[in-house]
Amino acid sequence: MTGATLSERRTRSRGGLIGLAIVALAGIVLPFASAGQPFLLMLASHALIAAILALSLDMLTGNTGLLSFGHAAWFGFGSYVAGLLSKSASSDIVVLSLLTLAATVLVAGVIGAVLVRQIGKTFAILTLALSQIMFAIVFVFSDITGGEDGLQGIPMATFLGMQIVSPTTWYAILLVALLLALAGALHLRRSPLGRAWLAIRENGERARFIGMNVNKLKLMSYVISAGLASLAGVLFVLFNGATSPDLLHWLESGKVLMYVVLGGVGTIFGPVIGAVVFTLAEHYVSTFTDAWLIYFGALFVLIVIVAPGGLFGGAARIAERLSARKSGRRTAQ
Amino acid sequence: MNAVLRYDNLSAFYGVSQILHGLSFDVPAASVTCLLGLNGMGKTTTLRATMGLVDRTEGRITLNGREVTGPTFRRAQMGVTLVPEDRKVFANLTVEENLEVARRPTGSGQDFTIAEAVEIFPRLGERMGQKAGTMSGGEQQMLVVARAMLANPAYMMLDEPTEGLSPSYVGAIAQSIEEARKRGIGVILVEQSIPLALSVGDAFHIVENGQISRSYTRDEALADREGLERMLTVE
Repeated sequence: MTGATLSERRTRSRGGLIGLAIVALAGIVLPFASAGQPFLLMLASHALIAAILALSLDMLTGNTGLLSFGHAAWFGFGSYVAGLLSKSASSDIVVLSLLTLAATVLVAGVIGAVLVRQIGKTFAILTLALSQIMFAIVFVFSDITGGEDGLQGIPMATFLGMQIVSPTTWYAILLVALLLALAGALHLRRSPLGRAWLAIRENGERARFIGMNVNKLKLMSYVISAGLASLAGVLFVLFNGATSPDLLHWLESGKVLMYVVLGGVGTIFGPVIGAVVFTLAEHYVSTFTDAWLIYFGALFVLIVIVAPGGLFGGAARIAERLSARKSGRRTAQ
Repeated sequence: MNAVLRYDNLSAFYGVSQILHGLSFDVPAASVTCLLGLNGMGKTTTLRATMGLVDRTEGRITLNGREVTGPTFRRAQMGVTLVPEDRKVFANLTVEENLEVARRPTGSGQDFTIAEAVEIFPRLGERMGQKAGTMSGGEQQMLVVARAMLANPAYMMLDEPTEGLSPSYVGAIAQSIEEARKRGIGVILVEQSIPLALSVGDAFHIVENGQISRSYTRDEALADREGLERMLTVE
């Protein structure tokens, strides 16, 4: 019995590695496939940022079950903090990432400490309010933030003193960032902390009965999630050369939530797939019709009804059933 | 001083209604104390009050002299844990994950291990990789008891652990209670089944209208089994 469990655990960790390898391979192949089509590479780069952002929300919703309607708040926060710092402090991508991350941990820690005490709908509504407050702050301090015009003229990012110019380099940086984030998320999922989060998602009261400080664990999940979202914001503002209040808008939050639900809540790879599919589809469908959101709305409803686990969850369920049948046959023999 | 979980004149309230009216009893370590009584008399409330799950209490609960107070998780960390009647497992986690997540090492080298849990509940061993929510009710009950023991509590409270279980499962539950006692854990057992209570119990308290109306030692209970049963039947 222990043998079976161990081998199963190995399979699961192998599943994670295989997933990482597939993402890496697909990511590496794309620049070659898109040679001569610079726009495609840029679209793919935006898809990678969206994927990191989606993964960040999954670190919260997928792990502890807390639903955020305002996750773009931290995406936008990261982009503004990094944008402002790049004009005054440093243009180094690593320095900017670390400084922004520190700022996010601090602010999200304080805000999160209040939020995680709320349950269910209250939490979700407050996250929405938070993103709208951040949205409003951009306009209140428009002499610093650029107001409606957004924050323009971000200096070109550097890495170890070298300017990051080529779109391919940018693409590589974003791909590595996504792979690191994925590896981190997979590692956390298997760690005792990850297990504790899942227990809380299942049943907070029982988790308390076995001595878990549920609020503290939820706060950790919230801060980690906000931190990763803000890093996506850092990458966005440096890659894009500008940021705008749109990033903080609830529409953006809704989109991130759609990535996650489309891909499969709590599946780690699912939201990444959801973000990529959504970003590409958004571009191509919107060239055919202005009413593309209607089609996405319909698709969203369809997925929630037909495959509540999202694209990835649905696929995993089919794979599980197939392998169960196979191993069933093996046992029968 | 001997280890003891002490209820000292405990009263408990939900809103304005008072459920417990000054309840006092001791639970020594390595013993099984049974709370018996009709439904609605305050047995479950006593357990919930211990975990801090009622609106307000008066009186004191102490564990080895230290007051059991504060939020639920803090009480659990002090060493009291509750297995409620509704036996909720972490349904989407596997059996093994359910057990792993509950482990709370004490560093004493005497920790209860997953292997020992499997010895008491062999069925769980067969189901390690299975999602806990897909098991039968009896198997889930075994899992929540095993999960509670893995947290290495000083005191474990079981609320009607055998309700609705088939006899084979009842045996396993009784065995786990014996094992807990052997390990020095103090057990509070709320139980409707007199045979189970008599087979494992060291002390018996009848809870009536939020108070202890009568107490029996094991010998007294065995001698007056019929009286005990009569007391727990609605006339």
